[in-house]
Amino acid sequence: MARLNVNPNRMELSRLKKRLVVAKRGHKLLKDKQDALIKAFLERAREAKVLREELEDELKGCYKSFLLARAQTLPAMLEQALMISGAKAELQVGYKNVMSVMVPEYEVEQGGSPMNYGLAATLGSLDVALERFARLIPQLILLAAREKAISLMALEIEKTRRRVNALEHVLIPGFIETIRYITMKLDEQERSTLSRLMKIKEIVRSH
Amino acid sequence: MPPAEQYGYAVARLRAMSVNLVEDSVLQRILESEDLEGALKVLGETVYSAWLVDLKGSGDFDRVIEAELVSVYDEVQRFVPDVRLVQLFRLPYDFHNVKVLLKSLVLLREGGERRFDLLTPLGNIPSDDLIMAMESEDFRLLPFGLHTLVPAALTLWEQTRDILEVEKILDTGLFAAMKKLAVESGIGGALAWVRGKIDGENIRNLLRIKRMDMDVSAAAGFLHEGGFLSKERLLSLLSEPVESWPRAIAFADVGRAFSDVQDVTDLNSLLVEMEKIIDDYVASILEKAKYNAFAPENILAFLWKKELEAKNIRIALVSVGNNTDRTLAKGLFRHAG
Repeated sequence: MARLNVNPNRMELSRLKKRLVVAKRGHKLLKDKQDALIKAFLERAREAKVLREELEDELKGCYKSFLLARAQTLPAMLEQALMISGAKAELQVGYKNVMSVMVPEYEVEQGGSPMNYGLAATLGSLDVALERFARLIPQLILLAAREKAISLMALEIEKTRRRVNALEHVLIPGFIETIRYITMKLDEQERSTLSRLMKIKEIVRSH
Repeated sequence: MPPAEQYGYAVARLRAMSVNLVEDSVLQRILESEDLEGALKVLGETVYSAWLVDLKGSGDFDRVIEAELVSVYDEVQRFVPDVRLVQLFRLPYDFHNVKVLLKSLVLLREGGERRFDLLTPLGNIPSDDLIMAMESEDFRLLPFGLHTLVPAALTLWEQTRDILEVEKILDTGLFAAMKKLAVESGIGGALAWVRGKIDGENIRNLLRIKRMDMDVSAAAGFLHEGGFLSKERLLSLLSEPVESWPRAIAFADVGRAFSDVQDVTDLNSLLVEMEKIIDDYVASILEKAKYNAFAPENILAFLWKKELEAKNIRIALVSVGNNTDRTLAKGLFRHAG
């Protein structure tokens, strides 16, 4: 493991020991964060999967109704009916902190009626399809928020994993190695001083 | 009204043209095709083949159907003694074109763009003339009451900014113009057909309104005068459950349409079913005329059959193109006779 390029003195040793303690504590915290994030991520992913499957089924139903209208009308007439929308949707975006991940929360407010066309040239299937689409929009936005949160959490997990790995396999071993090196150096210095002193003492005694 | 003898030639010619109507077996083959290319190949065996050469892509089949309808309308218009009979069928397309141009005007004022691509050549008024009238705001020469309806619609939009209200007066104007044309033609069958169509439209709208749970005052604007059933009678149905509607209107011809309904509990599926039943009912109004070689109603019957044929082909091609349940598509087929 790569040793840090530091001067082997007591000051540095003490500083490194403090950094090691901080690194170990940080590693534990990050590891806990990573575990919690993974747990929350899996929970949310499962929920989002269920919601997505439900919405996909519902969307199929919506498109089926729309297709019924499409099949029985001149497409230009269908498009003409939908040229000016009577429905309005306002979207508000808020953020919530989930383990330091700012996940978006969307709030949609729908107003007006999707039925903003004359009945003469349109079919009842179009009413059904538009109604179902209008009901589906808040759910789709909820799914979008959940999937965005999952994607942000996945990024955060990846980032945390890199940090944990860096601490676990690079920083902490580096500190340990450097501390060992400094300790050995200091021990050696001490032994060398001791032997020098003993030699001096011996010379002084022989005189 | 031109004398009945003049219709002899027109009816005979239409009988000859009826041979070219797409048969049920061909429709079935279209529906059973693997893909859209296969379905178009089957369609190529019919009169529609003339327009298939101009097809830009397989998804562009609507242009083929439209071109065939335009061609039939133009041809019939050339030999029919009273053009009002063809105009009756082309009128909804005129009103569609007017709506497109009105909405384009509204969109343009709000920073959008014109949608001339949505104009159809199926109308009586050439699209260019209509565009010219709308752009120059000179509506004086517009026929079918549009010279008063369009300025009224524009004023209404300026006052209310409610496109639904504009659509309502145009729809009312459409049925009033259809009835006026039928009355002017002096053909009893034509008037009966228009009145039956208005009844059918009203019943269909009433069902849609009932499903939306709209109150009576709001619903009144969606119903049209001129049918066999009065608006008041129809509005009184709104407060009753749909199950009791067939009994309440059993005295009217359109009540027969309800007798074919199997299940009235699910309004969504009932709506889809009613669209088909009402189209078939409108066709049945002209049934009696088929034994009379001089009856002008035969012209209406032929044109309605052609409209239903176009609808059936579109249903089949959309179903094949989107690979949807073929049984469902088959259930939507109108009885072209």
